Amino acid sequence: MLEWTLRTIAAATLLVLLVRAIRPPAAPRSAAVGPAARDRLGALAAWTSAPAPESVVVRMDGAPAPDERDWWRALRGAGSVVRWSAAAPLPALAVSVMPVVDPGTRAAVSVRVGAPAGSLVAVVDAGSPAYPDSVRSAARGGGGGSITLPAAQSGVVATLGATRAMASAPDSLIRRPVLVLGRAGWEGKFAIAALEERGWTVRARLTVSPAAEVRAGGDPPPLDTANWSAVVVLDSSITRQGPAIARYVRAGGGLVLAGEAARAPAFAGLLAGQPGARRPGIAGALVTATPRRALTAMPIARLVPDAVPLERREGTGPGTVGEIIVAARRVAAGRVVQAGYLDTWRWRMGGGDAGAAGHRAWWSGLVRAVAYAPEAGAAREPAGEGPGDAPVARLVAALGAAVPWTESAPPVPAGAPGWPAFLLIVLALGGEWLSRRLRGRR
Amino acid sequence: MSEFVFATAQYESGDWDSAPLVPANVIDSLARYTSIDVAPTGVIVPLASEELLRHPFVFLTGHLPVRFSDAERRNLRRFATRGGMLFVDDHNHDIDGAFHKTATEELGRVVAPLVELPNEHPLYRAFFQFADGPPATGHELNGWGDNLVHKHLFCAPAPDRLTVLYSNKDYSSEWGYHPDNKRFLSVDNTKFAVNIIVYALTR
Repeated sequence: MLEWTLRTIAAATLLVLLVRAIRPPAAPRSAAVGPAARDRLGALAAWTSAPAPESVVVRMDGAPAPDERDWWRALRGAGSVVRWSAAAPLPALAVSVMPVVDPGTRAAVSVRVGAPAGSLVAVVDAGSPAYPDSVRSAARGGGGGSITLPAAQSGVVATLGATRAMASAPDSLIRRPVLVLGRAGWEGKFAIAALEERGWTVRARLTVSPAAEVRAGGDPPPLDTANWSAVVVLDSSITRQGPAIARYVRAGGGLVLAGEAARAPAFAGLLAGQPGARRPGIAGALVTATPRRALTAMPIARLVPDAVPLERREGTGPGTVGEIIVAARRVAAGRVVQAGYLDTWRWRMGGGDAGAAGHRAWWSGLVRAVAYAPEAGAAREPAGEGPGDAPVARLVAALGAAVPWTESAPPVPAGAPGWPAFLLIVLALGGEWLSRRLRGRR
Repeated sequence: MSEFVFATAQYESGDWDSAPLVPANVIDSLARYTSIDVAPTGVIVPLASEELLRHPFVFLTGHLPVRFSDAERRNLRRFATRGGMLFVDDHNHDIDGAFHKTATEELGRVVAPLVELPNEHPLYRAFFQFADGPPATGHELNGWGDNLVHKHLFCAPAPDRLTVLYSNKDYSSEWGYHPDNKRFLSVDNTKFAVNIIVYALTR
């Protein structure tokens, strides 16, 4: 009877184990994992073969890698409620890298960083991490900053505290010609020379008389983003092309409104601000470290709300300190830079030995700021284990906003262990064997 | 935008002021044929002064031997390097005269050796069309000077522009409406001056 009972117990236990093995165990209702990345990945690995909890809180000490983030998103897509929390707020860090659209700047990338206002972000070429640079995010206006680095072959990593972001530049950009429009004069001649000497391909239509214009570079093709990277308007004589230029900008083109061009009625809807009265420059300043102070300028009196000042000028007289001379804004898909300087050619001719180079770089910078240059080829993906270009933003996009951190979140409920059942089977079968031996049976 | 100012170069040697009527006639033609903003009067610019760098187009003429001072050479070199264009006309309308020999030597030393300007150059189509190259002057056609019609102008070229344009056709007399020259009554011979200035302003 005893032996029969023990055999029954062993068989029943085996049956229970078999049923448990065949029938999935009931899923735990909720779980919390982390904050160590190893714990989180371990839980994810476990839930590939076992039912995931109905609700999971993922504790983070930093933004997860794209692979892990996608894994959590997949878990969410499979039906679990996945939320995340962090002991301290994760700084919203983002980085983008684009080749510099300036033929005179060889193999450089423009790194733009988004970060909490006033924070200092370390920026480094992933291929040479021993030489970091840094970007101070703007103290106001939502934060952000930019820096130009030599071409980064392996991508750029931005670090703020424990949060890292990584991005790579596309292989190259398509840089198209620049169209210069205006009356024939020294400003046009030297602006064209500056851009050409810097490496831009320039076409020009310069009005010489009501019935004649000089066309440098042949007849220009239609004004659209398939043909032009930017348009430079030199003065207020451009009226007939105004609507076409406005359409071009809204479609993504770049526009530089130089000097009196801002007074042309055709561009009223594109201005970064209202051009003010002319202010004479400071005599003799052309050969100083701030040569543009010597130029007559029309300060931008009132910026439109979405415009950004790019250049303020030291005072040239009472009440002129900090006047905005160059400003930019976006108009639909395009960009506009408004520069209030007049007769910048004087800087090139009379600005000392460095005048020509400075004039070239400044004009090229204006065009670079607005130039439409689509990517050629696909962007290179960051390394798989990299943090991604905007890890916190993408985390929020994937899992929603963070939930409050709780110190005593329930641990992940583990399934009932199998060793007690195994021990019971061993004891039952061992007892049955011992009973038979004591009775002299084999 | 600043207006175009016709500047005449004043240099220490020679007779820089031998064609005082040229500026007014050229300015008149510019205003008549084009919409370029042009100052009603020209200016005289000492070749050695910083003032030279405020006028990217400068006219230089004379009859007598030219020998620039060191300051003039230095300033003229800066002028050419930074994008200025110097138009030099030999008022003697000859090929081997004192002005020609000395001026071309000086310009070769200061800027670059002069070479022939092809008659297909864009200068000849910058505004009016001059299919045969530089228009002949009355003095050339009358057989004065070296008794030649010079078929080419000369230049010191730079990429996509001219730093020096040199003529020994005596446009100084042609554009100065010299009493001996009656051609302007039927042919406006200052049209080529318009081309030179339009070219300077656009290239």
